[in-house]
Amino acid sequence: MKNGIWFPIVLLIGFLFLIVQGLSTLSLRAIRFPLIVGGVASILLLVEIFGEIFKGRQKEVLKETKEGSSLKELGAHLPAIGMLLAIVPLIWILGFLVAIPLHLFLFLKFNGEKWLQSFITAFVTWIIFYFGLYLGMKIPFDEGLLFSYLLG
Amino acid sequence: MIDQMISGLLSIFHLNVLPYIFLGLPVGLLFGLLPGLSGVTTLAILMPFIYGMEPVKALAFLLGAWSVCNNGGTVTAVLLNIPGDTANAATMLDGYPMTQKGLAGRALGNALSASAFGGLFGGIVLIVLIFVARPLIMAFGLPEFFFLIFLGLCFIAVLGSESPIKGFISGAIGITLSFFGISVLTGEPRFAFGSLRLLDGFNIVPIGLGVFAMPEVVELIISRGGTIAKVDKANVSSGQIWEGTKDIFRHFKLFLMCSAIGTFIGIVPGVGGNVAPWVAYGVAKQTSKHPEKFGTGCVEGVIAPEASNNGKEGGALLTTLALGIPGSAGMALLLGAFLMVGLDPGPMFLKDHLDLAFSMASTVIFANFLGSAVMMALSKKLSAISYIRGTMLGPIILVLCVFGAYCASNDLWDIPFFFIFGALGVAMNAYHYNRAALFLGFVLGVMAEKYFGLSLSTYGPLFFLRPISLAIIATTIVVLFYNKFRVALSGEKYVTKANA
Repeated sequence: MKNGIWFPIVLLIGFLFLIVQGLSTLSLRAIRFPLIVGGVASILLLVEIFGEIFKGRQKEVLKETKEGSSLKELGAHLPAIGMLLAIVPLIWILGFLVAIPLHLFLFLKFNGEKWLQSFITAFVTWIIFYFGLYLGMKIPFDEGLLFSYLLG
Repeated sequence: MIDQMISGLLSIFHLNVLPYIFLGLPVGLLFGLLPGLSGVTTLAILMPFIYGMEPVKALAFLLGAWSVCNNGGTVTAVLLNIPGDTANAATMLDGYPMTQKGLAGRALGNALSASAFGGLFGGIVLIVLIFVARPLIMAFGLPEFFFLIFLGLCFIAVLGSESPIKGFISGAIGITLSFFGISVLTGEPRFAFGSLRLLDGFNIVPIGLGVFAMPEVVELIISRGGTIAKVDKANVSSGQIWEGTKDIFRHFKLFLMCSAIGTFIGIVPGVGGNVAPWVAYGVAKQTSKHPEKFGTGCVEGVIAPEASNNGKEGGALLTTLALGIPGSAGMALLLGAFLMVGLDPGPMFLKDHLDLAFSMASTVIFANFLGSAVMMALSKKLSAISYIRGTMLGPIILVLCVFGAYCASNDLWDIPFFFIFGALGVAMNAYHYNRAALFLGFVLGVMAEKYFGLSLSTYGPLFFLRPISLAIIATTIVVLFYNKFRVALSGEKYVTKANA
């Protein structure tokens, strides 16, 4: 099956799940509008799915190649994408004020930037976050699991 | 009365008031530049500072910051595809493609000039309508609010340059995301799955940042040495910015129409100014002779949302002053500020403090012009951002987004949500679904459900049979099918993006 069909199928499953869940747990008044929206969306998704299936062969191949290549390209950069996601556990463990500059420094270095450039960018970011946002604007940054454990 | 008008309009130029506008201005611009810190957040943060101030100074300070917040958000929307505020999201549709084409200067000229003149339009309407606003506003009931939102939702079909079916599906995803949390009609927990966090629903900021900014971050990182601008030479000379300003006068009819749309939607309480830029964009596209160019970096696509965006401020202020009913979340905070400095907005306000109402109108106009001028002066420096290497810029944008997602409600859970919506945005981008429609659906979903449910229970199933409702329905049909009517009448071929 071609790549382009999976996304509407996943969406359709999501909509149907929410409709069933809503019908079984909510009052009619609370589910009425979601039912209208979900119903219309499900019909349109079916149209889209059947449209993808029965679309002209030549057009399909062309589009599939394009979509497939963009997904393959994305797959080739999984380490970089993983590095993007690493910011979440880093913030959870080390808190904003340490995790943000540390992640920025590691990311830049990982992507081949020079040591000095990576360090300066991370340091300037830390200054902005600490002095400008934390002290100046009193934004309550989370201190992270590690520091809240160490500081009691 | 004329004396009060003149003294009110000129009061902001007194030496003891003017510095307060200049104080609010950079704060508003800075907050506008930071994603997640919207105009509402700006007002909330600045409100404690007005204790003990004279009303005219306090309101000059707050309105100065509030009015220019949009300008800061406009710059990030055009240069980075990150909406500084919800209302800036529509500007990205054509502003960012212009930056990619190396026309960042012209796009900023378009957007900032449209903002300034849109603010002027809204301010003038505020001055003119200040005495006749009450009956106009009171003519709107629940069904009219619903159909106005319905008009906004219908533009889902015309926002994208791809399939309208995909547009509607994307809009439905957005509306469905707005259902999570507590039902606005019954107060029941809905789609919370026993989670306390989901009971609060999703915050708009992680959704906006996720679906719009994340695909750009991924693309920048994947492109290795690539930049946002896809051409080599930066075109941000003052000549280009001036050219962008002149575009407003080349498309003056469109500008006037979109400013009027913004002001009118701003006047209607409860609908919220977030609808205005989308309706203006949809109208501009549908009435354009070349709708196929919208979404590819079209000047009209930048002028329309920006003119309506700042035009709505005058309208929203009118409702707040004349009725004491805030037209948006920002106006609700401003209402609180009025009370803090000892003013009581409502019908008596215009009788007792008419000069102050005119003073606020001139503050909105003046701050918008000043904000746009400052941003234009900084445009050349700011547009250099679009030529920074992707490997350098990508992580910096990511940090800004993570910060924006977190500080919208100081909740760590908004960071994973930002990544989840980011993944959705990347998938939608890859399969050509309309991210703007998703965002519009989310913004309008709760209001649409509320006014639909209330209209149905108050007026019955025939709630649409009211003159203003029918007029809005007719307008929706005309605007949606305007291009097809025009093409059918003139006999020319309808051009779509696919065959353009």
